[in-house]
Amino acid sequence: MDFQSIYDTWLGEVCRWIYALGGPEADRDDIVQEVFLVVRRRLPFFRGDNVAGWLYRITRRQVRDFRRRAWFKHIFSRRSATNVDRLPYAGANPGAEFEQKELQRILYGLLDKMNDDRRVALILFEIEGLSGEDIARIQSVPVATVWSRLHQARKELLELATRWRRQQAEEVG
Amino acid sequence: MIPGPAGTPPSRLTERRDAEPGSSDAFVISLLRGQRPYRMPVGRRQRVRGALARANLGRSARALLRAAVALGVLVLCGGAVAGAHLLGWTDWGAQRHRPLAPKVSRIATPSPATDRSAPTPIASVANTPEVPRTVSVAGLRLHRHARVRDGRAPEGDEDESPVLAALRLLRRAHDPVHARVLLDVYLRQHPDGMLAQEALAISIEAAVSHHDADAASLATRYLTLYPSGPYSALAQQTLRATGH
Repeated sequence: MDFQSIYDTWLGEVCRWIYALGGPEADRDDIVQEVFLVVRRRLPFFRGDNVAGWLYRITRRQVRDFRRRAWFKHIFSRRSATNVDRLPYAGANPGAEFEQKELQRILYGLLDKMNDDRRVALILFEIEGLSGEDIARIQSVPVATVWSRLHQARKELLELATRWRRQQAEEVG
Repeated sequence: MIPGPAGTPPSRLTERRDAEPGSSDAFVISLLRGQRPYRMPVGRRQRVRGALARANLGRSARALLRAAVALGVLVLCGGAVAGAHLLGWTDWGAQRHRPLAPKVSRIATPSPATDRSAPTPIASVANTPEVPRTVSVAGLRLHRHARVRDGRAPEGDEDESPVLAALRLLRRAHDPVHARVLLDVYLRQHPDGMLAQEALAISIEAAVSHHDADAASLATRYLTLYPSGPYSALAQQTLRATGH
């Protein structure tokens, strides 16, 4: 297993995980770069049993570091880590795109408050369409743990959404 | 919701059709349905590949630079140490600290003693002669180092700190009396000590500074013990100045 083949095969997946982990949009290229620098450095020591799990662990650590740095960088500006205006969307008309951005803004505002593992499980399962087995392999946990995380994530998202709607209603009323 | 019936994977929220319209469930489902799977931006693969190549190059250059700087520092330090040993810089330093014909000016008429413990002064304080400075703290260290290099070893219980303290008392506190007490103690305990010559020379200097009557006898003692010692010029000038 050489670095080039890992890069070619897994770059898309790593980007997807970074997105699911809530890596700051502006830093996403840098995070990918850092992930693959670590991969190149540690490749000789990798046993080769679960590439996805190994890459996910590196990615998660890098995203956490970047988020921490971004938090310090934006400590006064209070800018959100997820900039929905830069999220990819292939909508056809501006009205639909605006509505879509609003939904994204709300959803990622809620997801930003969630635990990383639950958030990733939820995004990969509900939005990216991955199976429980795939997520289990990536997160290096049993499938039952993925279901449990998903259950918790859904419950938490529902609570957060309910609270958000109540706040909106109070502000309007 | 999760897990599903035995052996079957749970269904996705986005596939649910039974949510009550207007409920929080329906709101969450609509939020999730509105999202599209992630697509990597065009050109990221090439951008990251280029950045990785540059980072690799940068890291190699930085590593090389670090190694070169470390090597340079090592070579400089090694050269300095080797140069000090081969060219005898330490001896040169010691030589520079030796007295260059110190000058002793006239010594005035003796006056009554003011301190019973101190030797009898031979000049008044108001008429202080110019005292030659022969030994410095750095000089002490250099002389000691030179003697160790010449194969001399200090005595087992030799404590050289009184000489240093006496020098400080004489130079900084201008207290020749107490300086002489310390030097006498050192010379009594270690007549052949590593700094015996310096102790005697500082004693002469202190005696001249305090106009002590035994300055000449100290100078004579020095010349007897060390006829070609580094402070013989001081001793001879002291003798001349006191009329011996």
